Amino acid sequence: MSLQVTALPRLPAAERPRTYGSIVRAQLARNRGAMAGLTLLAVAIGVALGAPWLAPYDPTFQDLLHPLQPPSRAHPFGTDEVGRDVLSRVIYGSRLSLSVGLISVGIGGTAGVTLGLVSGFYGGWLDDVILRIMDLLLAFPGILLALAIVAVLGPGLYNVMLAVGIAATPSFTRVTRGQTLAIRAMDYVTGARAIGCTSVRIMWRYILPNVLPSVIVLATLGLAWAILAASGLSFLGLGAQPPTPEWGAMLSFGRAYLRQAWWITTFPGLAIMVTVLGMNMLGDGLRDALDPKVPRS
Amino acid sequence: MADHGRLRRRAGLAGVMAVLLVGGLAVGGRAQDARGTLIHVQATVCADTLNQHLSNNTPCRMVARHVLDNLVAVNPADGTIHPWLAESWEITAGGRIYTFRLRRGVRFHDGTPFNAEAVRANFEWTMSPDRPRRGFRYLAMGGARYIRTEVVDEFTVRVFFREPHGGFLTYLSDGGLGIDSPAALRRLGDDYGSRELVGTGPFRLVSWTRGGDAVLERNPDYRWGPRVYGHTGPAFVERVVYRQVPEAGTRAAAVETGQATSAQVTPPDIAVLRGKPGVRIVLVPKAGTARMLLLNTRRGPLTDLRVRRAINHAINRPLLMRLPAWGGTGRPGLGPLPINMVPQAFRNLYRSQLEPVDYEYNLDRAKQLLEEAGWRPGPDGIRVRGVERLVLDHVIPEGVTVRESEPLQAMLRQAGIELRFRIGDFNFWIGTVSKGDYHATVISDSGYESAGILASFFRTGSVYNWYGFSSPELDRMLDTALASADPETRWRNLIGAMRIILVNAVGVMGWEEDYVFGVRTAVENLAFNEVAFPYFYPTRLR
Repeated sequence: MSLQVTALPRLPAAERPRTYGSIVRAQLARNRGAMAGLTLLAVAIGVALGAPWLAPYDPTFQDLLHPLQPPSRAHPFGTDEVGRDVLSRVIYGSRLSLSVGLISVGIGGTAGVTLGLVSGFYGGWLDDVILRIMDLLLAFPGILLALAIVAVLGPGLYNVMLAVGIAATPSFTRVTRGQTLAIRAMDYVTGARAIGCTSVRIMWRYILPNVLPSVIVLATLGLAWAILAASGLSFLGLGAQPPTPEWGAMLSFGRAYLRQAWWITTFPGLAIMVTVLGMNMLGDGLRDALDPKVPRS
Repeated sequence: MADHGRLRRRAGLAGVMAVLLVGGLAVGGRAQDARGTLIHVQATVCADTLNQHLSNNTPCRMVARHVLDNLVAVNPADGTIHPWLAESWEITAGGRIYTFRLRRGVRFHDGTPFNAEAVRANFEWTMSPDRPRRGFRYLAMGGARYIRTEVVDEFTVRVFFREPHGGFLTYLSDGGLGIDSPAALRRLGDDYGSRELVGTGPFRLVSWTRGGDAVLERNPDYRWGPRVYGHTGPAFVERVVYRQVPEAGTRAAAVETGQATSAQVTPPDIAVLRGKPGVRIVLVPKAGTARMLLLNTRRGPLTDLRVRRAINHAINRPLLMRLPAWGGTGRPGLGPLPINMVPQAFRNLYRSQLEPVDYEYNLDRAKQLLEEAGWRPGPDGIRVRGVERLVLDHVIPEGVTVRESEPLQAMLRQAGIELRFRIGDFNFWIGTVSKGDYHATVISDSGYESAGILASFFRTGSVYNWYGFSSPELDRMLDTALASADPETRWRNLIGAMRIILVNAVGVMGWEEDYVFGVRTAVENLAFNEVAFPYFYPTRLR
């Protein structure tokens, strides 16, 4: 008796089952706004990483004989009131602004996601306590809250990161808790519990991965807000301290010369605008790509 | 300067009462002369209280100056003292007793009469041991030297001191020693100055709220103005409004667009306002100290005189003054008291004594001094001695001082010194500096009584001597100047004291400042008082 084995026909690539990630990537790739945002962000990151090679001058070097020079070949963005090259300061400023944004969101995201997971998973009095604290924080506009925290901690870049991070925490907590409440009722979570997984393992292995897409969207949008907030605090003199090149601080120092030397404030202002715009566009694209209610072609 | 329509007043002592007159000045004004409202904008109208017994805030004093009169008036141009509420005076017992004969027929804005009892009540209010706050007014009244004030008759008052108080008359001309209505002081108690201020001055206070406008209204009954301002009758404008605008650019725009008749602006605004129709720029040398980079002589590397001298040589003061932050205003400093504080008769002495011990910009000399002190260039350019780096903590309040300090940082770096900023608000700054927890700080003070100012900064143990410098010879000279009312004695000792300060490189006498005002050309006869702020009593609005 012979057994004839017939090989199954290989499915064309286009008909292969698509993973969730590939769907999201494809969706994102079709969104022109998101792609433009990604490009702007990539440029900002590239500039930040390549600052030592891209900047034509030391950003803190003062050429006191040539202050307030308008844009020229030697100084494409001009010089500031003590003769520092504005282009070099904008380039180095990108490092600081992106770092502040990332670290602030890192602080807010880590704290917020942890609190949201615990709150949503355990419920009860712990949920009540965490939520009331978050409600309290949410009662204040984010920038005002950050301002109050810096006022208590004192001026400085690290304190600004912490303040912006704390101000960003409630939104991460809220989103994570909402998602956790929905996910913890899923059968696979019940299954995990039935086979004896610990609560921490369930949160880490089964709930967190499903919460992450929403958190990533929030983080992208939060990054833009964090950069803006940190620049605002530096503008008020509470963030980066001289001679550190920081976009908000550059705006603040340049405003005394706004009508004589527009370049001191215009270029860091544009840098903030472009970076924040890029992040917002990418964030919007990600939200659409991850939102099941948005029709997919 | 003049070709840009700017008027620079250099002649005269600190404050320079620069009467920019175009129209005729009449003795005694008529009610029908008065017209218009002057709107003056500045960064702060008043930060604490208008009560001059308590306030140490110069802007508050500038508002109160229009409401309160003084016993005497100084002409800052020559330092001479003139009658005001006191018609004459006599100094006896070697400067320990002052007797004042007061003007008759003067009334406070609340209708109560001005007399010897009013003067006594004011002085006793300041000096009462029950008052917890010991501010400028307490020091101006002689501090611990003051004994009491005695009413001799209704219009004669006598003040007694334990030791001679040579600067008393000059202090009495300061806005901080204006005379309040004793009835109002009693009636309002601690609230006095928060809403009401009652004096005998050419303007009455209509309203003031913290952070908002202060509105002053002409006192039509005023007949006792000091002749140094050119007339003695009522003011020529109906109202004066002090408006608070923190942002310098907005203040400049306000005067440019005519929303304000005058504004205190910053040197960078000069370029904006220059040549604008209807606006002129007025520079007034600041009364008080020069702006100084003071060095803590008790701390780390700065205990070494060579390092302090090196810092002096490393700072290029003429170049500083050319930077946009100064906008061509001010002058490189020579001594702790700028030359505009020195009476004309002593200026040659001031120059001849201080110029030889001045520190010219000389980077090579600075490096040589640091080498001699054992500081060698490190791998990053900052000098090291053993494992110690030549890093100085520069404690500064946020704002303008940061802008001034950045070039200092660059200049000192060229000599191999790192100036590390520690920036905070005013409370942080004063808390840190007064504890001696710093190497360097930028500081200045406004005022008019030269001996008092210099002593408050440099006498051993004095209120602002936070940098540990102590010299018996310096103390002796300052004490002699403080006790003497004789200009010759005072200035010889003050100039000698400044020479000691320079020789010991207690700081870098950075720059002499000018206050910058944007003024509408419709404003005539704008005067500046003893501390170089506008005084609108003789001002007319065209």
